[in-house]
Amino acid sequence: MDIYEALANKSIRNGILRSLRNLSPQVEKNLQEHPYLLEYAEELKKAKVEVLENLDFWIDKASKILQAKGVEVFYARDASEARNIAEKIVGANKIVVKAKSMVSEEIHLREHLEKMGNEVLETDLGELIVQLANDKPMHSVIPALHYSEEQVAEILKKIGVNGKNAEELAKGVRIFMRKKFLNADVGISGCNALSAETGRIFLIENEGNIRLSTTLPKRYIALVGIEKILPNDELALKSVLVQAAFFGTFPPTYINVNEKVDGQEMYAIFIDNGRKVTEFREQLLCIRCGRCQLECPVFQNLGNVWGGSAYGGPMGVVWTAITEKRSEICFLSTLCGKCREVCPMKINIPEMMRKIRRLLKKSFRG
Amino acid sequence: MNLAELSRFVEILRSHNVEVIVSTDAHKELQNFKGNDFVITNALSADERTGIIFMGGFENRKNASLAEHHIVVLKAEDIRKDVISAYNFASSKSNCIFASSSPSKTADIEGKTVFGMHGPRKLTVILEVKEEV
Repeated sequence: MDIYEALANKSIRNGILRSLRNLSPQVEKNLQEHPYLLEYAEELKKAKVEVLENLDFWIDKASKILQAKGVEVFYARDASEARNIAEKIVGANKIVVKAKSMVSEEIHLREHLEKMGNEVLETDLGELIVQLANDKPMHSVIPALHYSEEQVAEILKKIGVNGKNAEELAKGVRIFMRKKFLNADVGISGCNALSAETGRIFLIENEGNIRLSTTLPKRYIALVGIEKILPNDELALKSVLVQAAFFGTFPPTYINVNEKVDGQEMYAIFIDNGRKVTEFREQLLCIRCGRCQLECPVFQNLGNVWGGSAYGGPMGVVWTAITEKRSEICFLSTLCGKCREVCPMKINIPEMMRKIRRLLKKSFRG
Repeated sequence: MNLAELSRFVEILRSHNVEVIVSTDAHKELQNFKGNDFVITNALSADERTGIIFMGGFENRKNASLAEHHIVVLKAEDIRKDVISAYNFASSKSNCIFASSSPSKTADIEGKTVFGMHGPRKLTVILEVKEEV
């Protein structure tokens, strides 16, 4: 889908505005009822800035503690290396259950593992819908917001799930997916925050699919963007709570604090993919709450079509510049500043948009 | 924790669609649950302000994730004033910490909330108190 098709596709705009209407008042309510979350956000930003200034130190520290606990640790410089590492761990002809993870979208892991002959299933309902529709997530937290109930019913028929409404469809997917969870060889998740103090991986969710994906299989792989490292458990916990509150669902239904346990092989793949050398380091403060996307007037019309192969919206334009390339899509920004205003980390996205524009103009001139 | 704080905590849980039973004898309450579709976990701690309940242990996490109905026994004395204190208290007692605050849910289809997506459809908290309230 290109931007003209996205503009003509009313379901994108309707889905985004519906999500905005549902979630925006919730964010306000969360912050009114739990004002300490704003203090957590400030504390978190300070810690993240310090970690990013000494990233090598923190990667080393986190790697050592993970290894001491029996986790096999890898470092992937780019997406291709990350895919190859994951491929070696997973092997072929396996059943793989995957939790929703934007970093896995970034490295296009599912498609790669499928090519290796594995059955790879997205276990988050929205992400499963997107996978079956051969689409890409329309929003980083609400991937299938652009599909109607009727369209979802049609898409889910591909896996034998029949139903007339959200409740029946969800019930069918639960039954279908439960068999997959119980027979899965490998579970894969992303990482919302990693504590360098204990090597614990913090993940929040509402459905329970992450808990099942990372608990039932005998082999578990955590994909860790290197910017997700935090000094200790307390900050990691604060990070996931701020993320949930600014997305709009607080408290999260589940908090999973994953670590190496007896009877389960655990692997951690640190993913650099442009992060360490980026000119847009401030974007690495992002905790992926997706708030800037829903509030952005351009995103409201184009969704994630305004973006790179994985990330879209205001944060997505900058993330794409970090992980893929600087793209002309930055010229679509209105520079209104709403993204910065609503960001829990107060990331100055408009300034980075301007910088991408300057660099692109310079390259155009040769 | 005084009575008003306890009431507020119960109200928070109920607003998350959690069934709450307040009792001086959790063991006795558990006898009322029949059948085999439920799993019981002893909570390590909880946060008074959010209703987040912390539990621990890999086997407990596995069993809780697969349950249709998750029953959690929480002692009122293990409730802490804030989420960080609650986490630290839980973490001092067990590894593999996990937390729940409501039944499993999704809103991925047109923003419509459906309970029981992949995890427990029902969450019951038996809140054990020392004196009759």
